[in-house]
Amino acid sequence: MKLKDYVLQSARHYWRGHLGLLFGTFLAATILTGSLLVGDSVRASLRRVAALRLGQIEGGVLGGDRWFTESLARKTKTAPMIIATGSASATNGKVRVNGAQVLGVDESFWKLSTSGKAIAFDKTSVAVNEALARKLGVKVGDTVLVRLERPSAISRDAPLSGSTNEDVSLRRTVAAIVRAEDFGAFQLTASQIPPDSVFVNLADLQNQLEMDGRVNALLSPQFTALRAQFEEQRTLADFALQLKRVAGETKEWEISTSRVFLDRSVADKLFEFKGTRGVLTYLVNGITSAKAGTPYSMITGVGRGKDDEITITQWLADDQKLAVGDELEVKYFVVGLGRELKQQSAKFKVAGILPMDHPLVTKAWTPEFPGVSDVDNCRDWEPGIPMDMKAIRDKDEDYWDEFKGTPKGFITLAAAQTLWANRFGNLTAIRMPDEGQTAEAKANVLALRLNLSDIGLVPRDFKGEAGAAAKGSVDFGGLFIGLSLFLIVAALVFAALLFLFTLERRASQIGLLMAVGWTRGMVRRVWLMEAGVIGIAGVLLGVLGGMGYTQSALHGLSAVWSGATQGLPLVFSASFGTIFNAALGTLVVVLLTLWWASRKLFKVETRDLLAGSWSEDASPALKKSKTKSGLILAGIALLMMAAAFFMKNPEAVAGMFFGSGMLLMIAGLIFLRGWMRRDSGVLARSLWQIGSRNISRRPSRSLAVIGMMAGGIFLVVAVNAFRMSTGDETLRSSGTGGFGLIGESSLPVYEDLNVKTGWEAFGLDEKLMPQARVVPFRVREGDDASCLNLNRAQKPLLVGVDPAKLTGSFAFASGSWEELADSSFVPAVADQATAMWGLGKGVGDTLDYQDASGNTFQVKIVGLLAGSVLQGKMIISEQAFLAKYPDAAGYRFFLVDAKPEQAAEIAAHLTRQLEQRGLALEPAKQRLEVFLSVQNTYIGIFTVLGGLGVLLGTAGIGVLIARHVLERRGELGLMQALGFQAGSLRAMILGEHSVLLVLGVLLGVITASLAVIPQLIGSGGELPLAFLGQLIAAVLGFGLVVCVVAVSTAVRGRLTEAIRRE
Amino acid sequence: MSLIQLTNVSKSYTDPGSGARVPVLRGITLGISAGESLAIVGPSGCGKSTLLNILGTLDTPDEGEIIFDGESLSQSNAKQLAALRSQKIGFIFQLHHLMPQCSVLENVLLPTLALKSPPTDALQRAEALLEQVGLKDRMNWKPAQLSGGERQRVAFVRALINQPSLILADEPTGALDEANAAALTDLLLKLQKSSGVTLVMVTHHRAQADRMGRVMTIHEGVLS
Repeated sequence: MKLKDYVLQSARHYWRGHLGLLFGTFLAATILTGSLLVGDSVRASLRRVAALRLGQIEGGVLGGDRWFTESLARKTKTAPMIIATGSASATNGKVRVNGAQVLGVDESFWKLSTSGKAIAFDKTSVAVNEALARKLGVKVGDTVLVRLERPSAISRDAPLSGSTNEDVSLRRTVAAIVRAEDFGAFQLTASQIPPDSVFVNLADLQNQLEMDGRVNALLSPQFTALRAQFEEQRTLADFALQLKRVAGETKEWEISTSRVFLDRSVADKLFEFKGTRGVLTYLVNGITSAKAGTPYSMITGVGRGKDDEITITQWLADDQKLAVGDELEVKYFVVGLGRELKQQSAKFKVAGILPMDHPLVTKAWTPEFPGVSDVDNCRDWEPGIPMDMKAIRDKDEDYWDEFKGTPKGFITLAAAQTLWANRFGNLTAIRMPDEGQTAEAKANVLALRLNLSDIGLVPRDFKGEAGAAAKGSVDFGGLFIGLSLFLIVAALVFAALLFLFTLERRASQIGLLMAVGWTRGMVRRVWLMEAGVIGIAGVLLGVLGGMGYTQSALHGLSAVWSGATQGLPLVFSASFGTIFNAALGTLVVVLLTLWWASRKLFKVETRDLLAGSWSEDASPALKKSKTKSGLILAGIALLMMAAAFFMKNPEAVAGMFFGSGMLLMIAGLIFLRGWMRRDSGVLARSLWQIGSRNISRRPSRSLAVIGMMAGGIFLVVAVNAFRMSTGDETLRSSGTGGFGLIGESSLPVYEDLNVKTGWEAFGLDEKLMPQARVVPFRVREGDDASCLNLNRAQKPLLVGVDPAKLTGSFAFASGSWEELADSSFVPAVADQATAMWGLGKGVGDTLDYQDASGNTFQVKIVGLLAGSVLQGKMIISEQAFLAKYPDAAGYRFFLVDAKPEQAAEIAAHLTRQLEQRGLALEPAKQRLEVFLSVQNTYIGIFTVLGGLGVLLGTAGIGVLIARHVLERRGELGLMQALGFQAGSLRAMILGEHSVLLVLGVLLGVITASLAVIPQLIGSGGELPLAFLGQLIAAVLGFGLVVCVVAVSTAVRGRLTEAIRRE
Repeated sequence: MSLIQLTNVSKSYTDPGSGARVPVLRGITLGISAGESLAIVGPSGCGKSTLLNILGTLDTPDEGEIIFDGESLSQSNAKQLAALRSQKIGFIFQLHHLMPQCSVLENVLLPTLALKSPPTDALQRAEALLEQVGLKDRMNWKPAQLSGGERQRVAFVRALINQPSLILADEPTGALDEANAAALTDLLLKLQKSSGVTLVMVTHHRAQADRMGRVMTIHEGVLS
């Protein structure tokens, strides 16, 4: 016979005794495997979503508000497209979907989808994805109305950028409903939530947006190839630059831009050419002298000279009867934050007068101002700045007719830049010597000097980003293990209790083996091997159980627990590696538990094992030291509780109470241990007194059961205290910051909705609006880093706000709004949950972003908001935002301060009046509740799984009874022989174990009640008291049933037989 | 030369009620020669089993020295003592302590598993010994299928399987009726003589004790 034969034979012989171990191992393996497979499944689901949303796309370039040539895409063998945001509605007008993706695509786009299926539609129709079709309730053949903003080459915030409300409406027939596999799921941001997409014919959209031949995105199936080729194919047009020969004798090339102001990064590189000079032409509000005034004129800054002098044209001199030496005052607007315009003025002395036929007097100095250069009549100007049309005279009209935008005065470039440089640039053109090359050759030379990355056009590895986002996503495997931990522990304790039961019954075998020369280690190894055999069987069954557990969990996550997965379509996935790891992990944990649990038994002397006379009585000194440690723990717990009353941070207070409750529970168990081991010194005169002595027969065993129940009840009750609620949402310190409304707009809102001009722009009620305060945020597109996004945000949404408008609002876990003012770096405030869980960051950590010029800059977290409605965003100051993204125009995220009784009215009014901007507002409390529902769902899952653990712990009482009765069959038989009725004996056993049950429940309830004091004092209504009451009742009820069944089963038959056997 | 020599061995236990030390063995000096058979008799609680446990290295004395086969055991660790038990000592208890999951033959072979290199002839020896005790035809039976006497015979064979120098028997027939007890005592002595092993038996049956080569009495922890 070999050792393995002995082990297998023992396992086979004692299989009934090992059923508990088998069950415990099965349960632990089921939960562990199931939890890890939930993680596998969620990851697989995210990968599936990523695969569907990206199809065969590996890389691409996102221009955003930078438009480049479609031919750049063609030359790099990529799919050109337009990506815009807009709103879509069915023609019945009942439903409008804001924030829809409006995608201008051609056939090359569809080839990149997972299926590669071409979706055909012409210029009169569009295709919509399933999500949008469902929301709008449209089908093929129906008509939809799509509204989006006509893009501007220049930021709408820039002075002279033209009108702000350039919307485009497309009324089109739905030609196809696009399935997820066919690119219905297409989106470039990492999110599990399907987008609402409308696909428009690329040429049609270009035409409607007046962007013929231009796109703002391209997609490629090969990132490496794209990166290699992208810069190679650049042309000046891709930089929105125009090259033209300046007419006249100067023999110069002029480089200007449709964006009006040249990018600084581009201008810097162009200045590397010899003989280059800059030009800055500006539309001033008026030129006045002591004699007269001239409205709305162009003035050009060029060359060097005296910065306080101006050379004017003859026309201006005639208009105001000016002569050399006269003084002029020039009035002009400068741009502040946003579209804020301030009129300023500067004085110049007339240094010269140029005749109107002088070569310098030409409209070539003036760039194409949108809304100005393209109109015939200056009364039709829409330059995007407030104009006094009454000031325009007939002679001004005549000037426009004859000279168009020809400047009326010239100042030095330095003077012009001092007055008119802004965040968009400080030059409107660059001129350089004409050395006789062809325009094409010159353009090539210039383009070669520039890089598309200078203007932020950089190929991105979308596939890599998607992989990283899915990889770094919420680890549902770990999460479920955490949530099921108590259940796993309960299963292990259950298995250990039953294993020890078997072990104790076979204690003499251990003694014998040691007597015949086996070492303790050898005997223990053999026992663990025997347990391992059972464990392997349990684990194999558990793997199958785990798959079922996963299916159930996925079902739960798709239904009642959907708050945790936020719309992710879940698919079951099980990898061999995960199953193997879970199985091995369970086996190791079970064996370690058994090894630990059996440590005392293997320390018992051989002679005692053989005689069956061992016990776990502690020495008096040990008893004393344990009681002392119990007192110390209780003291620490009370001190922590007292300290918590002086703390302000609600989470710290809750943490202190939780910790002190836990310590009190441990102290309680230590005291109970002492109580069980006490020598009462009272003569036992009743059956009950004899029974109560039995409680202390095996204190560790009894305490394990009490501890399981108390610990389970404590955890379930105390963790529920961490359920989050919005609290009083009108308080500034609440999660809503005291703001009543929150919302986003599909299209940017450029106007200030707190002032009359803003109200007028949208026809807002001037009586109602003063009751509201709108705090607008600028938005840089990025990933949602809130807990609603299961992916790890790679580039979280960056928003810019004037921090002064938020002072006093929201509670900070760390930092304050004031810290955003530091201009030595880019400071940011983020919601604590976003930073910790969404990004894995804390205060002092940084995130990399790319600015508008493609340069990387770091955003440093300086403050954390405690449980706020601003989840998912990195909040920086508007000033820092505009410094990095000068072209960013308008606001797309809003907080609205309104009295609760007016909030609904204001929300309805703003939503209606800003319908064209696609504004959607909702109560801030509602948004906060959605965020909180994620954490509350996790607590809900924990409660269910923890509750099961408590019930399993309660079932441990049954095991305890069985062990006690089997051990005591002899003495019970003797008592029966002495004349005690079987019923009395059953009552005695039931009574002594019911005490354990009640003690466990009481200990758990009392300590948990202490732990939830802050919640009970604050918002007791948030605790699921009904559920917890039911749980406690279920534990007591189930425990009693288990006791009755166990006692009835164990005290069956003739106990006197046991005496005979002895 | 003695196979085992005890010099001034004392042992006491702590009274769980009062915490006081209660002496069980008091200054025992005893030499047991190889091949000798010795009976230790005395009333219940006099320390017989404690002495036997000390002889078998299952217990350690508070004071005194034990020399086994010329070597002092006072410095031996648990591993070395276990090795000594497996190679040189065989135990027979009042209860047979057979493994119900193992067959008769497997029970007999159990001590061989404790040896670093089990003897190649262990199986043949087990069969031979079982034949000697009349159980060869039942060697594949399980203990539950045997009578009380048969189970104890298996325990005898198990004690002899590793060819020990010393067999310690603690009331080996205490659980049997008189006829069975007498038969088993005969068998035990026969096996002892045929194998030349030293036998120390604790009993309170004077008749059984008288059949041993030497009889010693223990009273209140003192051997005489």
